[in-house]
Amino acid sequence: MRPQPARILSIEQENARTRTYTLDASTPAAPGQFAMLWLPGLDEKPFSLLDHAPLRFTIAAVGPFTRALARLAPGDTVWWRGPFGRPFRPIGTDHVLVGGGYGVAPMLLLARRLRAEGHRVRSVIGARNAEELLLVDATRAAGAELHLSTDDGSAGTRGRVTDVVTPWLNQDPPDTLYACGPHPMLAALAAACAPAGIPAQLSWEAYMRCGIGICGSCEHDGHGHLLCADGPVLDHPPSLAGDPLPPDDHGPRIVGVGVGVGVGAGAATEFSTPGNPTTTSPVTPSAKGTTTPTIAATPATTAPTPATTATPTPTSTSTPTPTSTPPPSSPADGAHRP
Amino acid sequence: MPPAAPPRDDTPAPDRGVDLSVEIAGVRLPNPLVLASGILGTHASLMERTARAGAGAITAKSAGPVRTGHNNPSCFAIEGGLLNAIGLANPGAAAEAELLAETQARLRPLGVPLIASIFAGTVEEFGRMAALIAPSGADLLEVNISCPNVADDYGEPFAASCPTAAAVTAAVRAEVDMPLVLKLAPNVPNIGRIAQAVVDAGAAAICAVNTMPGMVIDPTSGQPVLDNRSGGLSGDALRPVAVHAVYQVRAAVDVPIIGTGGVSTAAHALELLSAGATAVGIGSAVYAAGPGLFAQVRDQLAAWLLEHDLTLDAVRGRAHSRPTPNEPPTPAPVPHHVPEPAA
Repeated sequence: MRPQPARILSIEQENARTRTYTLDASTPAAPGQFAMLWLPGLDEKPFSLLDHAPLRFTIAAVGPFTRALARLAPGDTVWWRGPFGRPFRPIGTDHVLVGGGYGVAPMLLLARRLRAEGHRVRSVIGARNAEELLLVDATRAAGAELHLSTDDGSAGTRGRVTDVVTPWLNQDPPDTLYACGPHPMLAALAAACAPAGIPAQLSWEAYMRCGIGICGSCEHDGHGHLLCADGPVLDHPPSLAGDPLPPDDHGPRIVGVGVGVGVGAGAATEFSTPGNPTTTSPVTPSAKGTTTPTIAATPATTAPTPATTATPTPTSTSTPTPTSTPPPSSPADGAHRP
Repeated sequence: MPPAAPPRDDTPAPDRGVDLSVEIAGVRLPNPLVLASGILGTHASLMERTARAGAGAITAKSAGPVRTGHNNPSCFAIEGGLLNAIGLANPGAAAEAELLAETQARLRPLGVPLIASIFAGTVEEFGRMAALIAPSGADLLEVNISCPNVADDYGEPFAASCPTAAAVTAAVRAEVDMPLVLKLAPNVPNIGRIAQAVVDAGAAAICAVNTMPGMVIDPTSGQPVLDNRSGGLSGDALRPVAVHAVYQVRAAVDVPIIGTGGVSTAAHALELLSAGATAVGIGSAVYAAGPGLFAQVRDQLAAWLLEHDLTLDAVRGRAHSRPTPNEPPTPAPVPHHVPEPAA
């Protein structure tokens, strides 16, 4: 599907650099799925869904694209397409949900759905400090048993989320653990769950190019898993939960189709990270011989009229204005913060 | 071109196995379904996965000078296909050679050949890239002279004219001994002439076709959706273009053709085979179906051949011969109008 325009209905400030955007668009989707957001002339990036009806995203301004988003106001237009990816696939009735940094976003949507079914939900939210803890009140309001951890001890347990979770795995084990956050956190959780025999469903992030499972940019684990189509949520270990590698005999992919219908609202995280090391890291951006016009505020008659331009570099003319090509996203753009 | 008068065999079909293997320039493919370049060809793991999923050969992503590729949006689905402008993102030919060697080690036990793919900005650079790739041990070398998405850096594709296409072929031929598969562009007046030029210059096979240049504009912003502005159209919309291109190439030259464009079913594959293809590329369809599509199409194809008591040899190129009045045409994969023979 091509990107569709949607107006920003409202924006809530979550902390100094993180805002939640609510759009006037909806789609069927399930917790853990993501959508692509596009600002013409700049870039397109994947973000997990905080909610799907209406679409909501919680996004920190950490790179060129997300800083451009942070300059938008209610009434402005962004373009979206999705949902994409395989969502969380809940198993059992006793769940531990872990969100690290911006990874708390999809966990809130999952918590609300599981609580709506009457399941036990222990939610762990971790960050570097109290200021960076996200969606704490919303998670509590969802009815989850809330546990916090911060690296500096300014809120909750001092230390990492694994310090909170690990004792449970033997003393009060859940049926399944779900997590989204920095890759070292996910790896630590997978390592903790394995000896306890607890299946983990972990949502990973990667540089995504096509977003629909063909270009190969988001190969994840050396086993041929594509995070955009086989993930972002992967089973650990893969032999659990009926998800052997590779999943090519499981029928058609779940791509670009809403899967189930999640409920409630949640928070979202920017998935894309510094690039795939085999294709991007050693690469110097090529000097392009052309210019890329920025988009001007020219509402089309066939779509909602944005109050102002949706681009980071608005112009007052209706003629595209040549500027230099936007640089590729910096390595810091969208990176999770532990 | 050779009319494919199918040898009729009255032996009950179920008593005979279906041989799907084909040969391209001395390289045996267990079945004619080839993973097209640019799809999942970035990692050894993905290429092994696709081979295990039933592909008869694997084409790696085109490599050449290091490129980051274009910004997103770089690929999206539209009515009838995909539009992409990835922009030949690749780690460079030297790194690619290592990737190909690792991939070949994984594919060889599976009996699935590996097709390397290169691009470059100048004739001389094509030769240098080929020399870097050759030691990788890939079975065939696709020479991509038809990417529509790098005009800003490289200008018009080499596939646009006979002299440039032939010059690249000769330059690569001079550097390496690997059999060359020239990948041609659909947007030329007569692709048969281009095919003749590259075969004369040393191409062992033809891949027809690359994507068709296209553009989609967002009506709200008035801006092209792709960051590169234009891109390459693939998928269902490209299939009639590809079938015609293969037909024209087959009419012009007698080398194996990898027919590529919009294949997602055995019926589609049979169209390209009937037009004259020896093998059939599959790419965009992986988007909706995943790599498991290869086994599905392979098994459909075997079942169809069995049911109609035909072989791949009998099917290949049969569109070039018209049925005679007393000899009904061989069964077609999909209902379509068969012209009456000329009086």
